[in-house]
Amino acid sequence: MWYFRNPLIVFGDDALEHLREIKGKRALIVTDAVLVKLGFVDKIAKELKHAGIEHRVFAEVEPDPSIETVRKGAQVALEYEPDWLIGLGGGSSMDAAKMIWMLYAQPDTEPYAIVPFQDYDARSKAHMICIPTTAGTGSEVTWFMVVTDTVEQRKIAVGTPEALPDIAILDSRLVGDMPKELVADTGMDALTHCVEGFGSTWRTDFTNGPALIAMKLIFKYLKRSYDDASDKEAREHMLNASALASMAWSNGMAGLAHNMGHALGGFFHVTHGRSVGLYLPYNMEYLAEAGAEVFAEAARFIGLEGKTDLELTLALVNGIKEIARHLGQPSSVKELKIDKAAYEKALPEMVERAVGEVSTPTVLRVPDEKDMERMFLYAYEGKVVDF
Amino acid sequence: MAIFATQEWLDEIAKLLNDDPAYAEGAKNWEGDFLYIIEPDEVEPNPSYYYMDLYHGKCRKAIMLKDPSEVKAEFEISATYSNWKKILTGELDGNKAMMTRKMKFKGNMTKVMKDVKAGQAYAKALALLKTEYIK
Repeated sequence: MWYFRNPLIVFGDDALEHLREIKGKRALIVTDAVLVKLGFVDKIAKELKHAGIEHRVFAEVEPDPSIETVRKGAQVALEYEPDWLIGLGGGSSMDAAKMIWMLYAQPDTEPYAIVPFQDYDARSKAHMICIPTTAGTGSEVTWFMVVTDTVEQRKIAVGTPEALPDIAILDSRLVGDMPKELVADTGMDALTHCVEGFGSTWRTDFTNGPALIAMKLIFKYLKRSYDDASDKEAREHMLNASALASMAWSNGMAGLAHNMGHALGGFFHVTHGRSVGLYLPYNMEYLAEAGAEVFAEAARFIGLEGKTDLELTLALVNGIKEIARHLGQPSSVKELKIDKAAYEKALPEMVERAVGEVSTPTVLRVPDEKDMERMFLYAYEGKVVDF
Repeated sequence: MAIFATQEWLDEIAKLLNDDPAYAEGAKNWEGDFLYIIEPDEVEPNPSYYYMDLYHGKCRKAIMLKDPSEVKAEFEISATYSNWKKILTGELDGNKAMMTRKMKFKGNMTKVMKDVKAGQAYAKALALLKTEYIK
């Protein structure tokens, strides 16, 4: 027995209008200060007004939101008593909104203790809409949340099916003005999601479809989306690809790039998409032989060539590297200007955290601590993984 | 090979854990005891219970219980006989079993989630265990 969970998805360049259809009294919009300044919140407020729903804004979400921030947001929710929460923004705002929702329902819950097999009764208090303004995290279709424990310098990834949004609104107008760097970082996140979802031992018929379509769309449109902000077709397809990619991994599992990326981000504050995208090719080289049959299927689907499964897998790795280069992404940790001594000092803890993540045992070749350490070191220097 | 849910089987588990340096290292920070409940189902109509005390990479105690009220454990894990068998033979992934509520867990999740490494070391050590099932 297993599940494929998904919110109602509203998409297209007028998708925000769906907000006029929702029933309720009060909505709490969880977002960041930049999106308020850019007028995105006003667009949401305008639609809510049509629906006769009053709103309040919690715009204190920072990149890599902290446990303190989500607790503060939950306090606002407890005082305002909304029947809708709206997560507006990138992964940080949407993840924070979902966590605020859980803490609003169960104020005594510890964020660390949110797990898939307990009841939080979140919908007795409110329902959730997520509206992405970037094309990559796909948080709008998942029940996972990443928040940062600033005391332990640690990103914690938790989830419960109850945190799956009721509605995801993919309005392509909201991603039209994304700056290039954000297109690149979030696009690499989406690419990592679909590759890891497809390469997970928890893959199913239901996750394989979205993963393959997402991969094909990203290979076709990510560079275009990066090169030309006025390319509406590319931006819209990337927004859709982001959601599809996250349907794939969140109904299966993520993989090593996420585990290593979380560890790096916790210590060195590298953006999520950039860090996971950096580690992805190294992980795929590590998995290449064990996962050749699986990755070759993806490579064939997106039109890459090779005589054997391994050649096709390596063509996929090279295709990912080529996209990353085009987007100006770092190809090694060294290129991020992270001091080698500091990296090596953090290494034992990063290895322990990466090995300890729940998705590590679900990859096609499970690394022990020694192999994980070598991957971290090879990625620092930019060496091809040959072990 | 010991029979599932017998004292002999628990003795083997305790020995496996206590002789395993990888478990000692992986679970070196863990302190916590567990009540395991084997719920009745169509295969095994009688419930059974066992208890394990895991402390800093060692198994201090592993005993069958006649009554679950004999102990007050920090954590409680329960599943039917058939589902325990599927989990222990690898037919059903432990994480998936919990997510589909085929295995239920009670206790302080914050403590567990902060020491995933100990759980992984435990699972890895137990993967070597050979178990006989009479049903």
